[in-house]
Amino acid sequence: MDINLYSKKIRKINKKQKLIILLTRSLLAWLIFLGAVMLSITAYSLMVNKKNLKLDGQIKIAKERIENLSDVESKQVYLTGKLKTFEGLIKSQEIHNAVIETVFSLIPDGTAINGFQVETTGEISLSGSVPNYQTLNLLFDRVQDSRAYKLGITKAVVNSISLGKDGSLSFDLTISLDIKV
Amino acid sequence: MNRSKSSFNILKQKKLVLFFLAGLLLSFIVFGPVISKLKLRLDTNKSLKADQAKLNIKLEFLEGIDKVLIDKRVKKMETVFPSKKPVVALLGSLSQLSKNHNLSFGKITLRPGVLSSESEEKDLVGELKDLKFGFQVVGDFDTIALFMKDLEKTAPLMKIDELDLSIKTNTFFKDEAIMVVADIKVLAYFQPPPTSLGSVDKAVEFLDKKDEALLNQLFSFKAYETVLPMAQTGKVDLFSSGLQGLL
Repeated sequence: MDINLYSKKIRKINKKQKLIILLTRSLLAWLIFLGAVMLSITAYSLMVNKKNLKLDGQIKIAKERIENLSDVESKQVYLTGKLKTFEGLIKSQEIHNAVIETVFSLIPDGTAINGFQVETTGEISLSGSVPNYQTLNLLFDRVQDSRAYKLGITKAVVNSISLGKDGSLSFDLTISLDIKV
Repeated sequence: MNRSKSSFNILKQKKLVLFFLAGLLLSFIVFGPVISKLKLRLDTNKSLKADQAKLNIKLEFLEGIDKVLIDKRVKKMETVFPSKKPVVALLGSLSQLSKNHNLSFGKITLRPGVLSSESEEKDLVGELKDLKFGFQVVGDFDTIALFMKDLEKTAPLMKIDELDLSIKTNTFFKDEAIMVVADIKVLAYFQPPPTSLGSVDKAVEFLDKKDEALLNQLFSFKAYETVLPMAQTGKVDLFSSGLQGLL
């Protein structure tokens, strides 16, 4: 009968060796895996680079085509640039014209007006002269009946009325117009 | 025997460590640059795709523009809302408009100032500027009212700023007003256009419905041809071939 006195030690060594072999194989497998990953990354990177070169070429062509259309582009830029300002001008012109139209509808024929300033705020200082009382009366009637005009009159103040040597009547009015254009 | 076994074990363990170190080296030294290069290329790809999309939109838009229509619109815009001080156009339009209404036109006050200056032009780019212009029209009240109404639809675009109405009476019958004298001060506007288009990839602004409506409004402005006086001035060569035949 043989008695193996090293059996325990041999088993221990065997186990250790197996573990070392396993670790070595795992490391090798890991290295192979890493190599494969690197190869795929490099291949993918090269593919992306190729695409980039293609895109770059397409961009160059597109830029050339746009440069050939620079005449149309400059006209478009000109129009869009001017339209922004034009819109504001048209709006303020509409207000100015509505003010003028209202004042012209208010004053009776034969009325002289001393330099009235067209204000977009709606407050108009109107001074001038009329040849007689009838015309002055007609002017006041028109000021009181604001519904018939382009802009409504919210407030009208008669600042002064004076009689001139030639019989004409001078007036000074402040009219507040309802600006809603 | 035991010593040789232990040295074999040490060697094997060293081999393991070497493998491990090689793995690390591969990861940090080789993978690092490869991955960063890939990242860079992917970023470039992303920005190139974005640029290409932007350029394609711009190209498609520019190719879709009706060249005849845009030419027409630019010409009309330049007549209604000019890029330079509209001195001659303004004079021409007002004189023609007053002529159309049978009003006498005169007493013009205009201070155009500098007509061309490089430094001023640079400062003015894209800025709205106005030109004040005073004139006098004489006629009856209703015609002047009509004239003012038409003025708002006359090119170049103007705004009535100040108005003064005086009555010319009959010398024999002072109560009888015969003529209305209107002193009108108008503001005409101009805006120098942008001097450069910017980079090629800069997006072009589209015209929306509101802009289209404004452009259509532009065509409602009446433009008058500027009539320039044509007269022969200076010395005449009497021996020129054309004149010799006549003499």
